[in-house]
Amino acid sequence: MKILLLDNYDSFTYNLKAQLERCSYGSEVTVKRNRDESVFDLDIGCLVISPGPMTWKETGVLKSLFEKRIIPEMIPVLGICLGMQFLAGYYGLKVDRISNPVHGSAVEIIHGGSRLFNNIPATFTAARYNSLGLVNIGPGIKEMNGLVFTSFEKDTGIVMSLEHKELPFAGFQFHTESFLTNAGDELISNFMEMHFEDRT
Amino acid sequence: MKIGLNSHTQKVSWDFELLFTLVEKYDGACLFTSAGDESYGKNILGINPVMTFTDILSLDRFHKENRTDSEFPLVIGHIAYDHKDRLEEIGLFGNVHEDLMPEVEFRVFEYYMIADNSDHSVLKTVKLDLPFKYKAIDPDKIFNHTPEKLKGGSSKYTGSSLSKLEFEKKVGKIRDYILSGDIYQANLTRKISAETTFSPFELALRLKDSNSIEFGVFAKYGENYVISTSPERFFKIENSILTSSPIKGTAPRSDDSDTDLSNLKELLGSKKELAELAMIVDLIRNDMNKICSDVEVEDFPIVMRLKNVYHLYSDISGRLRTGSFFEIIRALFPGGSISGCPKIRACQIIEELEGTGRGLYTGNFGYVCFNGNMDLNIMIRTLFYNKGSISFNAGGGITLLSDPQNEFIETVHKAKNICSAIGLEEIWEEKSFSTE
Repeated sequence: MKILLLDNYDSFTYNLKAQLERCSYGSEVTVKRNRDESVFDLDIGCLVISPGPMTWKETGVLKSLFEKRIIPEMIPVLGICLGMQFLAGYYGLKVDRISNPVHGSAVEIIHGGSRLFNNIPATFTAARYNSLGLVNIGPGIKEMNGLVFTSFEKDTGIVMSLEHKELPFAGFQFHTESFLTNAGDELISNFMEMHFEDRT
Repeated sequence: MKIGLNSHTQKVSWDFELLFTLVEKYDGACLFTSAGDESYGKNILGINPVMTFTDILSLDRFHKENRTDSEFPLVIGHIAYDHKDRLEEIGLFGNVHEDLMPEVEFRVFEYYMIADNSDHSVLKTVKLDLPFKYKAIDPDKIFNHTPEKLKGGSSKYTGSSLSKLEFEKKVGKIRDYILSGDIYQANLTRKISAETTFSPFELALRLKDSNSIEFGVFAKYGENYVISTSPERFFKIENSILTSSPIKGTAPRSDDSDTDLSNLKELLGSKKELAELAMIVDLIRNDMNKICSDVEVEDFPIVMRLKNVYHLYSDISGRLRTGSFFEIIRALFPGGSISGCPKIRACQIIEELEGTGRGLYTGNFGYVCFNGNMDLNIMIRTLFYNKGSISFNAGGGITLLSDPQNEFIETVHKAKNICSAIGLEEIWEEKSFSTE
C-alpha cells in the first residue's frame, strides 16, 4: 500500500514517517511538501496529513487534493494536529485559539472506546503541541457536521480526536509520533487495521 | 586525488600555550576540551592549511576519494548558520547574511596533532602526503617557537544589537507567534560588540580557563579568529552511530551551596524547561529519522554543570543510513536547539526579529575523519575577533511560558563568563535592570 504523507513544513514529519513505516505492514511512505503539485498524480492508498505551523487554511494544495482525489476516491485520511484541524475546518467546525495552549508536554487523555482506541487504556498520556484547537464544543456534544468526537483532554475537555461518521477520515489533536506519547504506535496500527485489514 | 598519511608519536611535552601558539603561527585550528568523555575527548590541532573547501558537496566528493580506516581528521572547519538558506527550498528564507567569514570553510592541514589531557608528554602527530606542490613547514622548526608574551589588556563595550527593551519586546512578539499557531519555540539572540587590546592568543587562553568547556575552538583564518567556549555537541558519528545532544533549559549557579542546589532542583522540576527540551528532542528525532534508522532517546533529561549555569540536555542516537556528509548536514542543519520548532517557520521569525545574519554563531565547528567519524559542536558562547574588534551573541529559547525580563537576564547569565574573561564590564551598566 502507498501512503502519501503530506508535509506542512513541519519538524515532526519524519518521526511520523518512521512510525507509519513501523505500524502499517511495510507500506511505502512518500513524503511531499504541501506546495508540491506532483501529489495530484500520485498513486495514493492513504493520505496522512502532518502537523505543522499556522492554520488549517495555510496548507498549500491540501484542500484541492482533498476535493480532486481524496473524496471522489474515498481514500482513507489520518490527520495529526494541524491535519486534524484541517478535517475539522473543512467540515465547518470552528478552529481557533484555545484557552490553554500546551507545547511539548504530555497530558492525560480519555476516550470513549471507539474502534480507533481498541486496546488503549481508558486514560493514557500523549504529547500536545497546539495553540489552536476546536472551540465551541461544550461538554455533552458528541458529534457535529458528521464528525464524531472520540477522545478528550481529561483536565479541560478539549477535543483530542475526531472520526468521520461515514467516510474513512480520522484525526488526532495530540502527537502520536512524540517520544512523550505512550500509545502512539498502537493508535496508528488501529487506524491502519480499520481501513486496510483486508488489503494486506 | 589520493592523500597519504605518515603518523608518528612525538615525545614532546605539550600545553595549551604550545597548541595555541601553533594555531597563531600556522593559521591553524584547535578543538580543545577541558575534560572527559562527554566531549571531543581530546584536543585536536591542524596546522598549515593546504587545501580549502567552501562548499559541502565538493568536500563530500573529496572525502569519498580519501575514505580509509584512519581515525585521523581529514578536514577541520565550520558551517555558518546563514548557510541554512542553501540547504532549503529557494525562497523560504530571506537570504540574510553576515559576510565576515566564508559560510563554509573546511581546511585540509599539512599536520594534525592529537593531544590527550591525561598525558602531557605525548603529541600524536600525522603528516599528510600530498600529491601536489604546497608551502611546507620546516619540520625541525615546528616546536621551536616561544609562546607569545602575555601583555594583558582591556575590552570596551561598544553595543548590543538589541537593547534590553527591544529584546523583551521581541520575546513578546515570539509569544504572539506561538499563540497564533506559527511555532512552539524560537531562539532569540542578541549580538554584543566590543573593542579589545588583548591579543587573540591571550583571549583564547583566558576564555579556555573561563569555564569547563567541552567543545572549545581556537582557529585562525588570516586576520579572523574564532574562539569558542561551547558546551554543546551538535552531533558525532562513531562507527556509523550518530548521536546528537541538544541543550535546552538553563538555571544560574550560585556561590551559596543551598541556593545552588535549590536552583538545580527548580530546573529539574520546571515544566517550562522540560517542555523546551522535549520539543527539541522531538525535532532532533525528526531530523535524524531522515538519515538514520532505530532513532532512540537515550537519556532525558541529563544535567550539565558549568561554572556559571546549569543546563539540561538529552542524548539521541540512531544508526546512520548514509555516509555522505552533505546528506547528513542537509538533514540536520541548522541545529534545533538554536533555531526553534517547527524549524523552518522559526528560522523565518528569527530572521525577522534579529534583523541580521548570524554568521558563524550557532553554526557548527568540527572535524571529519578519513574513516567517516566526525564531531561537530554548536557554535554558541563564541567570540569572533578581527583586528581588535570582537563580538559574541547570547540568547535563549523562547516559549509561551517565557517571561521577557527573565529571558533577557538569562542572556546576561550566559554571557557572564565571556565578559569576565575578557574584562568587559560596561555591558552590565548599559543594560541595567535597576532603572525599571
